[in-house]
Amino acid sequence: MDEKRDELAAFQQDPNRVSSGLYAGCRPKFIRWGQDNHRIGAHDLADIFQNALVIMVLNIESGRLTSLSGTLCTYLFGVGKNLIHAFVRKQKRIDLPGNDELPPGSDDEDPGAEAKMIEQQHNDGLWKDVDDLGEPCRSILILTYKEGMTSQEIADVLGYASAEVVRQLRKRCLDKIRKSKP
Amino acid sequence: MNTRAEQLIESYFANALQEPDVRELRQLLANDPEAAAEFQWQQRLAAGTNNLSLSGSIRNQTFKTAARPPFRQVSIWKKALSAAATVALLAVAYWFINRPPARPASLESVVATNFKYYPNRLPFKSLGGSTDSSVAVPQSVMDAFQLYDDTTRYGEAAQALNIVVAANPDKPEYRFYQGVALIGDHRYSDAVEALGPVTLTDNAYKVPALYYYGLALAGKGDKERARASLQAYLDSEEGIPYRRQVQNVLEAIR
Repeated sequence: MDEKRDELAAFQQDPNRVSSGLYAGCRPKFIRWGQDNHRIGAHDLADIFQNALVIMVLNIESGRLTSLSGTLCTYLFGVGKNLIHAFVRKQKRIDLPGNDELPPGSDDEDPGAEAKMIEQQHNDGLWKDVDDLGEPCRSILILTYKEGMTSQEIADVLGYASAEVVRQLRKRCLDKIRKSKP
Repeated sequence: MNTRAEQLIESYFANALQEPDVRELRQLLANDPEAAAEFQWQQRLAAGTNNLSLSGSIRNQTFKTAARPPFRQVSIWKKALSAAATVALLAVAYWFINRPPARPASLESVVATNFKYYPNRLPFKSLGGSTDSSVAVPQSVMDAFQLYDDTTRYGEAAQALNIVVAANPDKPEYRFYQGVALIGDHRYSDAVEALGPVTLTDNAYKVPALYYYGLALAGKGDKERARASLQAYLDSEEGIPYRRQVQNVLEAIR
């Protein structure tokens, strides 16, 4: 068993010790690297590192991460780079219909308090549905809609064979939610 | 839904759309109801996922604990800095609590914020409306409405429309646009005079006039009559487009 495999085995045996080491040793390096290369603030980089670490843990838990080509820290840098790409795109986003702008023709219409309340309840229901989906749907949908990652980026960080695999999985997840609604 | 539609929607959520894609998506949403419905549904889903944390996906409790960021180790000098910051914060809080009460936003600024341009809906030939010669419109009227269409020239529009209204006392619609221009120019008393008679008519401008009349009255400081006019707008079946603005002003003059 080589050293890299040892890191994964050590995580299985004592996850707290390994993650503490990553927070203490790898996180400062990641933040410095991100500041130097992407001009992102330290707080945002700390959040990105946190997500990278959670993704690493999810991959270990699901069995998708069983071997490393480098160290766990190198692995986290790889995941973090994809998260940074999504983060940078989010900062430069182009506003589109339904976001800041309303669909054509409804510019002057206010749905009113009742309609807003119904919409809010509907949204509440939707996130509970996502929460209840379980893995891998929950992660895929959060990475898609909350983190704004492409299917290829999700495939890279979650260890799927291709973007198409992620698309098919997401489609099935969305169908599950649709079917759960009467 | 076709593959291209799916690609565009995926790119939208990944913030990866380029300008030509944006145009294509807009067109798609306008022409394809199925894609538009799917897009809206995914938007609601996206809004919902903002409440969720990725770490909630970890099932193993030990792993979950390991994925929590550690508390920062704070050195003595950092503690001292932190204490100094706390003292400074308390001082600011003391000043904040004991400061003179903040003045609420002035009514005029509330009115200005909630004023919306009313689009020119008169069927003038030059504006793409009727070409019937029986509704030929004098050049002076056309010129006044050209000024009205330019939302940076309310003052000039109000002045030109004043002449038009004087020459056409039987046309309340001209008074209506004059009143809107006067509000745009922050001349609320004059706007009240212009719009008052329009609210008493039975033509198509009566209901929107209630909104603008209420704004003008609020801008003038006549809260009681402003309330009555704005409430009449809300109570009207046609009082839809400016509800939010009316509610904002009513809130401010409550």
